[in-house]
Amino acid sequence: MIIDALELPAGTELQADVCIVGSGAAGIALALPFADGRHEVIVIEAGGARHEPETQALYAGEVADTRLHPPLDRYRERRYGGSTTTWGGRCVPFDPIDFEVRDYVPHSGWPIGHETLQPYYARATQLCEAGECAFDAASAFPRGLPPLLAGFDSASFSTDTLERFSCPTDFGRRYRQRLDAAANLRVLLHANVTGVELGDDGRAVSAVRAASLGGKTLRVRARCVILAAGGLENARLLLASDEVQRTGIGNAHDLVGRYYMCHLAGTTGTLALEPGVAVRYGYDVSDDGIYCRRRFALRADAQRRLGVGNFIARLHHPRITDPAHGSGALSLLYLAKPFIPYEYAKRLHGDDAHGIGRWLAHLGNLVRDPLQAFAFAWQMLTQRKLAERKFPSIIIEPRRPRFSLDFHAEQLPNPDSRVTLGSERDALGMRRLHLDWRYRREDVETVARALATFAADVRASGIGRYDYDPDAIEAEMLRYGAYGGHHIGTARMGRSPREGVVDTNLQVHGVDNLFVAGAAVFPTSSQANPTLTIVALSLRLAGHLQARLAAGAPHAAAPPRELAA
Amino acid sequence: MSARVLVLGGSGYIGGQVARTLAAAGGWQVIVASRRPRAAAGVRTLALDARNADALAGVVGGVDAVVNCVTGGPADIRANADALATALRRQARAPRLVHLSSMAVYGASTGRIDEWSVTAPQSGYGRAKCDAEDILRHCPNTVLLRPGCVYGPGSVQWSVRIAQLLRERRLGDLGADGDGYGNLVHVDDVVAAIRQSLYRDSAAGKTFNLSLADADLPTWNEYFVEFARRLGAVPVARIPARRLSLETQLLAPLLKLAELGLRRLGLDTGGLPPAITPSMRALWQQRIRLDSRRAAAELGLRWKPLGEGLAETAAALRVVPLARQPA
Repeated sequence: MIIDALELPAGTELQADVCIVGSGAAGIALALPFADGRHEVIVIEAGGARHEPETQALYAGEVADTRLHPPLDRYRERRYGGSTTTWGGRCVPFDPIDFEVRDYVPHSGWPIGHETLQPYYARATQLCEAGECAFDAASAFPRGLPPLLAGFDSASFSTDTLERFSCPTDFGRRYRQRLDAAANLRVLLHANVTGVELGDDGRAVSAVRAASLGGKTLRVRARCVILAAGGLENARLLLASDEVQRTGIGNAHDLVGRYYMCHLAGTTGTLALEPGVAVRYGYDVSDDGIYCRRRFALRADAQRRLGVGNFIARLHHPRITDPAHGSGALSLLYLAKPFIPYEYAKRLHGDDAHGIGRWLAHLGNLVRDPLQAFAFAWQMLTQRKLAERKFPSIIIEPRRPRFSLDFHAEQLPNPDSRVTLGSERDALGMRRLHLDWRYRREDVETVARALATFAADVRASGIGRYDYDPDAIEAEMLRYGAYGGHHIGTARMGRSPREGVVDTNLQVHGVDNLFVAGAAVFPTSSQANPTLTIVALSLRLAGHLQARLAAGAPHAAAPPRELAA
Repeated sequence: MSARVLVLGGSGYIGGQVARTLAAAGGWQVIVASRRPRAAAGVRTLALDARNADALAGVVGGVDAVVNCVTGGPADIRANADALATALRRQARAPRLVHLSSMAVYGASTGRIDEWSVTAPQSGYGRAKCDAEDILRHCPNTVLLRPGCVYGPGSVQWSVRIAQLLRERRLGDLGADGDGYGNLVHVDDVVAAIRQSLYRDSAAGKTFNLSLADADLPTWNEYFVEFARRLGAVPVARIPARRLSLETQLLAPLLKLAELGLRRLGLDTGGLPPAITPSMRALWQQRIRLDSRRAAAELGLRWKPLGEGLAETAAALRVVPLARQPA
């Protein structure tokens, strides 16, 4: 059932077997397997059913360099459903190489392998409403597809891997009925967790403390507590809960908040194809009705040979802000930017000069090419605005075979990229985050070497040319700063407390009943968007917790561990 | 000399299948009774109003078993049960009665439901089925079967109409509206359950749920997507909730009116498109799982896997895949 904490008496104490902090992709995926089971579950959600500015403001924090990272109350939603209320829906599993120790990538390697997570991807894909777990073109399209780029012959890039798109599914809305109907589940809205309380020995959580903006407080006592509040907030909660473990929970080795990764993304260069070269730009719809898209994926052996991180690139339209593209549809988007949500309008602003001249040039494009603009607006209305399964992105077939390349690359783990507690406090008295996102030379190299290889392979294939400015790569990948919304690595998984905040079961080292779900636990970031893997890890964690609760694991009987405090 | 079995409602979908199967299997002399019997190979047909106790009494006296597949409106269902009970009470030796009830007796219940779960019918149909059970349960030598949604080649309700709706893209992935469990049971499994109920002495006085094993129950979304793929009705559409509301609140009542109008004019209603009714929508959301382990164990049934059943069903619909074949 779904309960508003504002309606509970002040000072309420609740009991459960499982307490999940957060109702986003991680929290809901974790709660659903418990529905109608025999364990009592409480999900604590800070927000309400809708976006509320005062609640959202609790996310605000300081950013060390605002050119490099968006404000902390952007790209995440403090509300029921979490950031799935705003995500784009791209579902991509991690690749086997992402889990490996790569000698050319310091701090790489997951303590679990691809095969450990693989069994959970099918159910995760289903929960994300992205259809069957078929992420290569051959299995998703058994009757075959025309080539992505005819004649492109590359030993380094695969054109066979797929991204599959969720509706995009707002987990809160989609699974509301199921959460509400389950008698053993309680979702508490408007309950902001302000601290995780440990017992005196620091070895187990005794209670989770929460407060509403109206000043009511409540406590939840549970046999297992899982932080599923997002990659930034999980770290904040661990660091801010410093009453017993003075440096924050699980932070004896100064790992919480470090290794903060996003992705490196940008749009660059021009792929000019010879006349007659067939190219499949855009989406293919699989039999199960899912928008799927192929892309150029740097193969694992090429990554090893080049000594770079994981990398993919998609064909893309020219930069929207530059009216030289001559496209009425793209100019329409430029002119419509005041009506497009911040998270998706960023690329419409960019850092180019703005002014009436540019605006007029776009208006000129629109006037010269009204049909394309109209067709595009119609598609956006019928296949996006009114559809429950939305056409995932802007696809405008160019008049000439010219594309830019939209890349999405792994950011390599870097202990100096981190979040810490700042000095300011929010309305509930919790210290706000200070975020210092850093990238390294090697991250630029991933993109540089991958693009150089792509350009060489295009040329060698004799199908055209890919021209780009190698010296502008760093500027391009930072044009909009770190890729928004992917908050990875702040409570990384590691076999020992020295290597990670959580163990392979996502349990905080040294704290017997505290777990972390979400991208915070990813030791590396892959080329893939994180949501699908977040959901897969949550499903795995649900299984682990169910087995543990069924076995009745008493706290006192836990095997001795290295003391974390 | 072979035993004699009377199939009431033998012109219906399930009754017809039962009669044919028993006749083909041998060992039974099959008498098919219905209001408008159709001649069929190997069976004797009999025109009979199954709501009339006197008419029934004249026939049930001479048979070893009765399979009651009579359906209709709530009043017909009750009248049939009353008449059948009355007719059976007049017999010195009660024939085995296998009565086909429905999962509708469980109404809007959710969770795992076995034969001891309380019945809580909601629809007029469900209440009538429940009353019929109560009337017939007290007849000696009776087996009650509660099938879920019977699908398979020729099943109008859960196969033929669904196929049409899938092809027209009026059905597909329903999102939260299709999260309920499809308590499907293949018609062959229902027929097998009836046969076993005729043979087995130990079945007398018992009630059995009939559906796929609960671990294998698909959600309705899974059923629709899988069936659409087998039909070649791809890509499967995502049906927005407001489209479903239009279907159930606007189109369904209009189709009902059209059906009544055509009937009044004495015209065929078969050309009307199928409706998606509010009760179907409610069922597709319902998280109910029939526990059919008792039937599997005591009637010795092995449920036909859904994939196999759907493949047969799609083949029977003689579909040319709409999708493009490889070049």
